[in-house]
Amino acid sequence: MDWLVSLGKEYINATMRFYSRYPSNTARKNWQEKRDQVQRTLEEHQQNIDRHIAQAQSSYDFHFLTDLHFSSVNVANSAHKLLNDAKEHLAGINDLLIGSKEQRATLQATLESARANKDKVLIHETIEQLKMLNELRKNVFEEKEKIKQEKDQLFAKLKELNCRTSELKELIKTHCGSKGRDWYNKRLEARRNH
Amino acid sequence: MKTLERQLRHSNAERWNDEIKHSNWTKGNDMNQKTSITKLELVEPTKNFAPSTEGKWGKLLSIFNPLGSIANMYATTLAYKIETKRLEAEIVRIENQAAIAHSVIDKTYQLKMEELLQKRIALVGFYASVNAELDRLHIERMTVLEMAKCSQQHVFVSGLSLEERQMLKEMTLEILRELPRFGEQANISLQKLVQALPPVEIPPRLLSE
Repeated sequence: MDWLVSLGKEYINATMRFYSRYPSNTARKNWQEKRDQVQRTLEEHQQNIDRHIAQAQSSYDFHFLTDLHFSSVNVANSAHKLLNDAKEHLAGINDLLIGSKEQRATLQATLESARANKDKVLIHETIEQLKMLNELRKNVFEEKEKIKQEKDQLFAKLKELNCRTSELKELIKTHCGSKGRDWYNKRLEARRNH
Repeated sequence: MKTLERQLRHSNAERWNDEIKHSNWTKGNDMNQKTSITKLELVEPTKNFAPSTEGKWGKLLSIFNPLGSIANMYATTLAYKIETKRLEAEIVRIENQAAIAHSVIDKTYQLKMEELLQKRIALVGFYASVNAELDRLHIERMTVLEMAKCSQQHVFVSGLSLEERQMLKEMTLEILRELPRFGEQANISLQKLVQALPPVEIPPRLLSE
């Protein structure tokens, strides 16, 4: 009787092993392959998206910063132009002072000569002219001082703007990848050739 | 009988359930995190994967009844097939979601670039107008300075009466007083330019993480 029970057990075990392995194993294999495929697809797409974002960001950063640089250069150019204008103005004022100095020398010579000739009318007239001239010179000196101050302020502003431009150039070089470095090197090259 | 019961406890369906639970290809916790349009959603695992179709006594009975095992096997195979189909659908979903994400990136980029372009066009116009004003001021300033020079020379031309000289001197002084006004206007224009200058900053992120 025992042999019949053990035979029955063996039969049942064999049947279970057979049914539990064969068809569901194929399905399981398919499922695992599909699972791996999903994982690969997910990773690939995520990598592509990350790469796409990085590219777009880099390009945007480049344009954003070069636009800032463009603005900065434009304003610095205007400041530079104003500084040159102030210098030109100062040169004009100096011309005015030189002219008045020459005029004073002439008037002083006339005064000396009038005093020597004791020409009272000419002495009076020349002294009046010298007074006028001195008043004019005083005003011109005041104007010169104002322009000097203006020039100094413009120079300080220009230095500040140039600093900003330089800072932006460095930022483009370090922040925008190869595109930024190329841009920086081209500008450096152009500056050397200039 | 005890051996058979032990075998039942470790039935195939349960073992596969454990495999899925411990597989690291999906992280359930990540699903709770804030999702971004550019982050693909992870695929959720099936919680009750191919559950056994038998109860405690059913399993026992299935030992002596091969049809029970067949039913169990059929259920497992079916569950795998359904899950495979679900994964196929997930691939389609991932691809569609990725396409949407790429489209969002492109559109955001184009939008931001257009913003930059418009800003640049506006700034170019602004710089051109302010520079034209500065040019005009410079020309006026130099003309007025020439007038002052000319007027000063005329003060001391011979043959003029003292009254005439006085009048010319007053005119020269008046012209000289006008000169700082040009400098002030030029400074105001420059100040406008400086104020319009955007601050130096790291560009903002196109898309939040």
